[in-house]
Amino acid sequence: MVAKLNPFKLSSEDELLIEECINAGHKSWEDTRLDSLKSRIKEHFKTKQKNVCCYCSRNIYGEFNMVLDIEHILPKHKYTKYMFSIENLALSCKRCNLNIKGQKTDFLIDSFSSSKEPFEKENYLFIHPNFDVFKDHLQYIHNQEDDEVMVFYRVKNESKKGFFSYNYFKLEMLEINSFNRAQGIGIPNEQIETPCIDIDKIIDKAIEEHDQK
Amino acid sequence: MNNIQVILGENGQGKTRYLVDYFDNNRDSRSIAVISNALSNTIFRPYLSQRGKHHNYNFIRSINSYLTQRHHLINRYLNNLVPSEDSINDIFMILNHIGFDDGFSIRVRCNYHIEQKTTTDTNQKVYVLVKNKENKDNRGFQSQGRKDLSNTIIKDGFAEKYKSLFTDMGEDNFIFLRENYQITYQAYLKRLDLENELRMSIGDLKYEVLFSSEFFFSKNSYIFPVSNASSGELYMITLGLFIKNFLNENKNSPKTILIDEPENSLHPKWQKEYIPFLKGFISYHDVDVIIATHSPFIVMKNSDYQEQTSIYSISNGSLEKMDYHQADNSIEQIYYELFGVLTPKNRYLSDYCNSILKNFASGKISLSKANNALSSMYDISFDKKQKGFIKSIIEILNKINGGEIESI
Repeated sequence: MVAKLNPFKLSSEDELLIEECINAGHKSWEDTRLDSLKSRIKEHFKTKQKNVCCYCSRNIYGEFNMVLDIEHILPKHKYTKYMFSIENLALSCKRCNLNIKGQKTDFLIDSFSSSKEPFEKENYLFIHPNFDVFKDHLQYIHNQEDDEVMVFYRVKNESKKGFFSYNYFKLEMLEINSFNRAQGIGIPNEQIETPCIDIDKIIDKAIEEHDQK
Repeated sequence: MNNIQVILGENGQGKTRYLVDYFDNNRDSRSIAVISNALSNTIFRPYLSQRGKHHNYNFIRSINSYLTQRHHLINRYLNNLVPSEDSINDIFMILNHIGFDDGFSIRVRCNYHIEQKTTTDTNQKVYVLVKNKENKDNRGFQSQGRKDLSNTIIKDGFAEKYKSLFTDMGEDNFIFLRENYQITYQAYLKRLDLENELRMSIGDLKYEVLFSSEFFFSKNSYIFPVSNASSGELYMITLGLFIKNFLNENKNSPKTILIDEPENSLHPKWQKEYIPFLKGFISYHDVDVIIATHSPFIVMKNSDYQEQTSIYSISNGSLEKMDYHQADNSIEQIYYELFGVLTPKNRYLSDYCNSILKNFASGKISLSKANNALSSMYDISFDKKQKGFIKSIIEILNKINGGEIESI
């Protein structure tokens, strides 16, 4: 069963543009004509997700200094037709999205390709941002002392998805790093990115070259 | 198998006293070596002056200080050791242990040469010793203040017989390679025999007056004199040679080596390697070793050599075996578990707090146990930021205990 999401209205212009972009391939995600639609999608999820990353639950405020970007749960290079499906979109931080999840699909169950319901939550080994409830599987606990936020994740009721997400997104590293920082050990913030490198484009290029061979 | 006891603790808890008591109680029944600068200079000094009467204990006095003197000590040990073939293998072993190449060489310098002279009074031809000029290399090596043998007349016939000792180059080199040292060894023994004969025949002369010898080692094929080795290397070579000497001289009695504060003037890198080296030097010999130290580096886990080592704390003169996790002896862990000290900015503390929270969250430990562990760390922490950190961890513990907490 696929749960219903809050409605996200698409205009007929949106639908035409979406169709055109899907036909043009996943790289058309960067098409500037999509800017307005993308910013509406982002606003929609900001409200829904309460400004936290869908995978690690850290928020955009305070010392994390995070930016949340639109995340394609099923990677758009492989599942281009779901590139604009609201069920397949969420907001995540760069660490979880680019550094960890990237273009991988190893969070899908083996029989995913034969499944008729691509968004069925049972098809996903991790906590699905839209169809699972994060806190049913992982309790995100944080505490702030002065400026230092410390985070801790507790797996709820031996949840398999809770364990999977905890390991998949290397959440223990976030715990330990936040502990070390709170003691004054200099650990670079996980969110710091190198602005001149667009990892998405590099990966896209690599995949393109690979496909051509 | 030999047994290494390490007594670890702060100063003033009687570690050194324990060694002294051990020495007093066992010196008649065991051969005891004492390695310590502090010890031999203060508490053991009375015994030092009696040396000679008591043959069953040895001291290594200058191992820690007098760094500049250490290469003389090493040259002396080596000179004593080399004539025995067993010792040559020991030297190779020691060099191998500290990462030097498998070989060493001995340069024997001739401080004199022989000249023929005609005496003015009797107009006779005689052979006399003439002092060689000191050059840049051997300055200071020819012993100052020693009797000058110049113009000593050598008896008839001796000059021919011992001419080979005084080479044209003024020196004689012996290169010992681990694979193939027999020929060099025989040649060196022959030279030593001849030197002895000569020395006896020209009278009451001490070693190194006519000839002086210096040892050369090599590392990554670069050859250098003993005096150019690093202080840590010199320390380890001295230690190895001292132990070999001690073991060779006391073959048949039960043996103990007492070591007080080996960390003095030793770089942490060498401190961490100390016990593995010690084990290597002792190898198969049956020796008890007792080390008193306040350096966590000495007991840090670094290799499987650590297995036969037990660690003790001391209070009121009696030892108590310490229980510590063998798995991960980080320096912070040792400080905390053995000294009850939390160093600021402590990664071990982060891991440890994380494991306490996890164990409580998964029901492996009770709230009070988790709380006690964290509170006691809070009490001993002296760093403001660290105290704040532990307080925050206790907050998280309470939040876990509270169950369903809205995290967003």
